[in-house]
Amino acid sequence: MRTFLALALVVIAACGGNAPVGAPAPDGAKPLSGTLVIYSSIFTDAQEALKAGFEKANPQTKVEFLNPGGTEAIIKKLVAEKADPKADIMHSGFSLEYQLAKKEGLLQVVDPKDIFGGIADTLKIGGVDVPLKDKENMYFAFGIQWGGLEINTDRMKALNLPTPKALTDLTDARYKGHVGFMKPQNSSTAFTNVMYTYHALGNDEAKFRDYWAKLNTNIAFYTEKSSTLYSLVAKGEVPIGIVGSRAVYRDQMDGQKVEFIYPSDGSVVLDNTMGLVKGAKNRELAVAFMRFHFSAEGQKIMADASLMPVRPGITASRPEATLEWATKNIPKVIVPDPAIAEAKRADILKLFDGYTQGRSK
Amino acid sequence: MLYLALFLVLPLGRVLGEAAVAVATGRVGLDLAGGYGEYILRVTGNSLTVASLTAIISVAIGLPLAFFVAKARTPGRAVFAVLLALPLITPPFISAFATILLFGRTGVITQLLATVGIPELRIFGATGIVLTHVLHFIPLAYLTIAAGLRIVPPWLEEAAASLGSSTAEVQRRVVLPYVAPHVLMAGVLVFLASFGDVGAPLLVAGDYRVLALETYTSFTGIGGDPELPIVLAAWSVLLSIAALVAVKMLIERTQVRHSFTARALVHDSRPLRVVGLLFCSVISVFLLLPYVAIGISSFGTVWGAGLLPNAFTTRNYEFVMGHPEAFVVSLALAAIATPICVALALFGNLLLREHPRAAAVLDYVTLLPFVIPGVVIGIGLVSTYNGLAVLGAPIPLAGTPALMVVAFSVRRLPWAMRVMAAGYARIDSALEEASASLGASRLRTFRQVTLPQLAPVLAATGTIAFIRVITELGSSLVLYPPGWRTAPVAIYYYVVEGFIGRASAIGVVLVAIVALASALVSLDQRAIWRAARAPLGRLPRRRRAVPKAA
Repeated sequence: MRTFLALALVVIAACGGNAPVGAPAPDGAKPLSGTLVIYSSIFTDAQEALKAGFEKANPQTKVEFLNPGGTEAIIKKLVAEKADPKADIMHSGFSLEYQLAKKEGLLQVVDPKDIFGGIADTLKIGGVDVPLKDKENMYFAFGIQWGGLEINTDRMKALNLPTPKALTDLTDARYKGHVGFMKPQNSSTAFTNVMYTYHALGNDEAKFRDYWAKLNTNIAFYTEKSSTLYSLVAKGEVPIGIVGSRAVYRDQMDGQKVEFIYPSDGSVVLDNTMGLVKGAKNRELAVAFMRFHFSAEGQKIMADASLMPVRPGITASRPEATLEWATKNIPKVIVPDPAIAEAKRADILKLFDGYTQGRSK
Repeated sequence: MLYLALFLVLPLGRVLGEAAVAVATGRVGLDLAGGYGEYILRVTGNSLTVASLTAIISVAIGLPLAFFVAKARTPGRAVFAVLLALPLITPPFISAFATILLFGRTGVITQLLATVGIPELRIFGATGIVLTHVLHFIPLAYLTIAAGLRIVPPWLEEAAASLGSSTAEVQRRVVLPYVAPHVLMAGVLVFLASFGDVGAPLLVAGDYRVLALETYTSFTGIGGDPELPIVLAAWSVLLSIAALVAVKMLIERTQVRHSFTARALVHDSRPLRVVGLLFCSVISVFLLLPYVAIGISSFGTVWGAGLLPNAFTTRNYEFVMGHPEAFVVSLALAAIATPICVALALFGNLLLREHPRAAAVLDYVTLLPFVIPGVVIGIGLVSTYNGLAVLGAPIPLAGTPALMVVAFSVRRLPWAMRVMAAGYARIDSALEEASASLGASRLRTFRQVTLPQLAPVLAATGTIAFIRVITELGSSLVLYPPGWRTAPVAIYYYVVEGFIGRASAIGVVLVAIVALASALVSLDQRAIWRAARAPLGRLPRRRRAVPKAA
């Protein structure tokens, strides 16, 4: 019996191994091969499209995505596996979380020339420079969405609620119980959006705390994941969400009665980012996969998933999801400051522990 | 024993040990003011409230339901018996999103009720969790109570009736006290199932935080104390062990009555038939509504605020057929975990027969996975086997599907043990003794005498284990490695990302697979439902033949 069990476990463990089936070779010499392991919090439709696109272009490769429960869960998993990394790429979630991953020593340098394919490493939108990479080349943004407000138009009408125009409108007592948000402890969209409010309020600590103390009383509930909030707003269960633009445009294409509001106090850059895991076992394959994101084909996948491509000239099912539309139409852009985010992270998470664990509500 | 020690006792012991160190050294403060004490007590209180309400409501509905199916000649009761058991073969989170579709602010039922002036339910919170759990666990209560009602000696009721008591009086004064332990057991089983569930709270808890949910989200989140998940997991283990003692006591009490088994009295009258039919129909419709909603949703594009999806399509099923990976993974893991689970149950029960002194300990250990949430078992396994090395050689368990197999086989052992116990209980030890007296070795006796007698129950055990393994979510969420996303995990992610139609289609196929598995082994349905309801029943002791008088 014990022999049988031991044998079974060895067989399964062997099946689950992620070792490449063939060694990667220099470009053009030999096709890429092997299994790439990606810890990603990206939405499922983009995940499936990226996997299909890369595997089609590189038939001897296999891409395995794992979402352990959000970007924060990815960081915890990478920390736990630091001595023997299982993943090659940390994928999706926003740059503020990558700053944390970098601080934890989870990422390694990649030469931007190996992946950018001629794209500039900064975009100019709303009169602001939007960086697409870390100063030390440890992480790179492959697509952008905008922080703002999602509203369910039917539900707002039924509840006779006015459409909020700015983040500061949300503290109005009329919205009590009608605003949804996510837990910043579990969602990078939430954490970046919290920093968004910090910046929108002029980086003023007192104003920030006062704003959240008021807004917290209006929040119906905090979801564990950003995607849960999108689907609940689309369903009309909660009429307003502080979210990212991508899912709103996707829901519109599905026929849901939702709208995305670019707040007058600014729209934060939610930069979907990726980085090469320190100690990754398949570096060359991983770099090739990162490069694929910036290719026209990879960028088209982003655009079709309503994530704004960072390469110019890529068309999208929704015009709002193109770089050209954003450059012309988004009036005020806020770029989150990684240094402030890191300095404030512990305090902010403690504040939200209080809110989400109910101690301050 | 070694398997259970390594993959159940050790991980849970480690969780308790790490938590004790974290608390003792002050790294996780438990003081009520400023520490986690108040928070832990509050989420525990919330869990106890939700589980208690679920148990009370489920028993209150399950009791009359059991009466009408088991003790009254209700028309169509055989059909009701099958329909009412459907929720037991599906994980609760599948019905959680159906709860939103039906009872949410824009849900179908909510809209229909609004037309007659009934205000909307606030389902995000305790109400939603209780509603989802009640819809899911009423069958558990009903089946447990029905099992008790079927063994009420008929002469008790006949005697009471002959003294002039009405049917209602007989039920209240004679039958109810007789099956009180079963009613209590039903309440405890529903309570435990509700207390440990993470799937439904993940979708409908809102800001009503419960222990299982907080354990999982603190495990996946950052912020707060990094050791908080271990402390929450340890607290769940301690509470579960306390619950286990209660379960064991109830098991002893419910088993006493079995020695009086006789054909139960079945009541029949026209009013009883009418009331029974009405009551069973209403409850069946109520219980099956979530599955109807899931079925409709599986053919829908998106389901907004309307009474039906915006449009109908077959693309969700086309997607499922084109992407069968999650099912392949689920079936592959179940194909390996199920035989291990059956083997553990086979040899575990053998050990209990051969070594009665070890029985008490083994009995408790094999029941532990029933009362401990899957998420906690997952956290324990990760915490124990992540980066484990023996003499410098890494043990390649963490991050591989092997740990999922381990978790599944251990977690579903209580069910397998109890079904297998029923098989052992039927074995006449006189045959084994005869074999031994003829010089056969113990191994040969087991192989040629004992095992053939167990053959029928092996299939039943395998089916129960398979059903439970293939619908497991809690431990999978914590343990699944890249490329090994199971069907329940896929459903979970699709639901939270808003791909409700796709999740529904996978849910429908999953239920179909489970139903097909049951049908394939031509298993007695009653055996499935009886065993599926819980690890009821005392583990077997060697049955000795009574010497006949010469």
